[in-house]
Amino acid sequence: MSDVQQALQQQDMALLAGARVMIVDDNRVNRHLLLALLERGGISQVEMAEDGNDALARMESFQPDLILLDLMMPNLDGFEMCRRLRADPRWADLPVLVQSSLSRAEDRARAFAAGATDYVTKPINAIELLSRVRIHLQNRALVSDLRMYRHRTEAELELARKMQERLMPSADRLAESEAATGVAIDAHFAPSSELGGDFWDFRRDGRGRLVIYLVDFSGHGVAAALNTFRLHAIVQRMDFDAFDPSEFLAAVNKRLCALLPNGQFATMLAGVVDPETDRFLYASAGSTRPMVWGPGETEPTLCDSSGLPLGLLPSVTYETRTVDLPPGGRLFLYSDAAIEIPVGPAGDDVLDEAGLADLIRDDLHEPDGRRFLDALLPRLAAAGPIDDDLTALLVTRRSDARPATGPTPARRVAWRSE
Amino acid sequence: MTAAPADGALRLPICDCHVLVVDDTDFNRTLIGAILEEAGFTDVSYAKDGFEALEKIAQRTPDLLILDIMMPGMDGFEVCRRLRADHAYADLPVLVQTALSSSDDRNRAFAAGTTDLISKPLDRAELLARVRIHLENRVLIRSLQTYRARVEGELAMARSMYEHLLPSTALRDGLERDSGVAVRSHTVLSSDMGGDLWGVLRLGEGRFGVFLLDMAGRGVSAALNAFRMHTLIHELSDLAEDPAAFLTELNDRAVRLLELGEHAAVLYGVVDAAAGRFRYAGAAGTAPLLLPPDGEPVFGDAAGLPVGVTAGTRYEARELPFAAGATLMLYSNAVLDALNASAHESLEPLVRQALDSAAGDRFAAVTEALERALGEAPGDDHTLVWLDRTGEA
Repeated sequence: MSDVQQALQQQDMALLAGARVMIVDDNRVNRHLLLALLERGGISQVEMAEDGNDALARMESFQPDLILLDLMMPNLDGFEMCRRLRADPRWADLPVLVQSSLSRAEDRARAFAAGATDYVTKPINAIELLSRVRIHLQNRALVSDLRMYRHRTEAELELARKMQERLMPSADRLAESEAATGVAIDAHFAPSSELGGDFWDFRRDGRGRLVIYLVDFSGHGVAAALNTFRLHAIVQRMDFDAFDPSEFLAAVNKRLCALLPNGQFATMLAGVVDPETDRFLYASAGSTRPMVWGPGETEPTLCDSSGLPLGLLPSVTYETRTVDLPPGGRLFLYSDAAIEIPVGPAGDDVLDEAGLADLIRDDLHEPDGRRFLDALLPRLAAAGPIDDDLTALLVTRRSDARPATGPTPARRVAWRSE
Repeated sequence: MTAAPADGALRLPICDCHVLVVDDTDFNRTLIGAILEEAGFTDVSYAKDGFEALEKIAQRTPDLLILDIMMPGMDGFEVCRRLRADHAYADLPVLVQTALSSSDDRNRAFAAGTTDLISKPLDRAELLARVRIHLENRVLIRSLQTYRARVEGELAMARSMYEHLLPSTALRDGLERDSGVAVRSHTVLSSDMGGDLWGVLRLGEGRFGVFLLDMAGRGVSAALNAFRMHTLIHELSDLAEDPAAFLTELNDRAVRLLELGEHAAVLYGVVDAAAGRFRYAGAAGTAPLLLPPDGEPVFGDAAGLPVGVTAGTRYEARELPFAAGATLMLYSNAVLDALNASAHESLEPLVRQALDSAAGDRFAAVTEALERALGEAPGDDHTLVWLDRTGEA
């Protein structure tokens, strides 16, 4: 016998020794026959029940891994007991091996319909029964092991996901900022798994202007998320007094370069809405191309966003670019997931900027920013599979807004009472 | 006949499953295929004998094999045995259909590795019920396995980033050359990721700063916070000469990032071998343990509020002598927790005993003693940092 076989056999023995099996049969002789058979197979934790009611009453305390179930029993028969078990989520996938002297096809069909996992006919063939018991127990052990892993990591990742969600601006902050700056931001943030490498936030600089930035780290999942937390810590320490997009990116880049391992990088767009000149000033580290349109315009303008991604070279400098953003104008920012959706018959093409522009063209002047995004998302999903973190930000300069120095108390109250 | 759920009520995900029917009789293949297709299965393929079956399985692994036993050439027993001998097919469900009714034959089939047995002549409802049970199980296991593979992949990548934060061998070698202090560490994470972190900040003239950070909580969320703290620490090198100022500033910055309940025990100190001292400050950290070349072990003091709780908290610097031949041991709170000890004094007997019995490497002796004492207890993440004054600064 090979080492592998030996190891497997030991595993098998441990599995059987740890297994809890319930025998449900109204015939005492049968019960003891089955008990002897199980013991011969190495299963010693056995509970016996005389009918369906008796078995159901013992389920909670015994917690079986498998049930050997007779069908014809007084009080509550095997069919009905099986149905009741399956109706209880705790026992929905417990292996139920029916052993019965009923041998007609109809009886088997009825048992399977009631939820039986397996069916053997009496007289019992000992080796076959033990083989089947072992197969079901092995399977149950595998599933429960995988479930436990999933259960544990899901809880862990859920905690982490909530932390990442809290990095993004809250509805409260967004409402306050809109009241103060006359600039509304509507956002959609969806990591491709629990956690992701996208991150966005806004600030007000020393002159009260709205600064917004969007970052997309290479990779996705937990590793990319670790980097978003680093970036958040870095930006927290930045000086927003006199915000200058190119200087900001250069400083963030220098600091990220000191932290990121080889092969990891980020694209970033950082800009400021300047109400005095009616322009958006921005710098880009290889981000996607912002789309901008003014009131009455029917086509979004694709802005230049060339620039080296962050984290590659500490000495990189960035260029501040400007684009008109008058009152009533809009700015649309997005992570590259939105333009890298595979399309075309063979899926070998991507949606690209023109394709994305096509998807938003009809809604450029949809007054409600939330509805703009809500309309876009199903269109993106229909275009093709999105397999990366997706962030989309719609920035709207309200045409009715007069820039103020802070949120008016009246508005705050109104917002709360909504 | 009672309507089994197999009667057209197949749940969606298993209809796409790939079923391979192996039978040498045309009639049987047609019959089984018709039953499956009528029930909604869309991906059924066929093989006429054992050889063709193995060939088709090698090309594309089915989700279920429906296998006849009596076939010319290679029979079903042999197909089963060959599949089970290959690790790749260990989990493949094999439903054997057989006219053999003797116990011996049935036992032979199970011994060869069959998952399930169904008697000929086939009953449609039973065949579909068994097919459904195996496929539903297969789909469940596959989805759980896919989840596990994905998450394990994500965590492995994150783990390598975490390891990248720890001082490399090259860095520690350089440190030993410059300062005459050898730095070693021992970390056990309770899960794939954790909130324990340590590192060094190189200062001039053979001095260096060393920190040990123990983030509240565990798992990925603790690691996210540990990465934040690492970023903050990394940007505090201006204050690295002054442990009290370092912790005071680190706390003020951390308070702005961390939420309620997210805080860290931190010990930060400057190792100055030339001056023969270790100047340090602690924030709810453990007391550093000094093992002089001769004489009794001495505990320092690292009391103080954890980092990240209250802005404006001030930390005090303390000092321990660090003479040639001495050793400094820093360790995370969890070491004490895992030893079921509230006070650091309880660590002393363990260390003393390990050192008394140690013939060679004292670090190895202490870590081994610690591992033994912690046993299999899952516990929290724990870290031990060991600084040996090996030479002249």
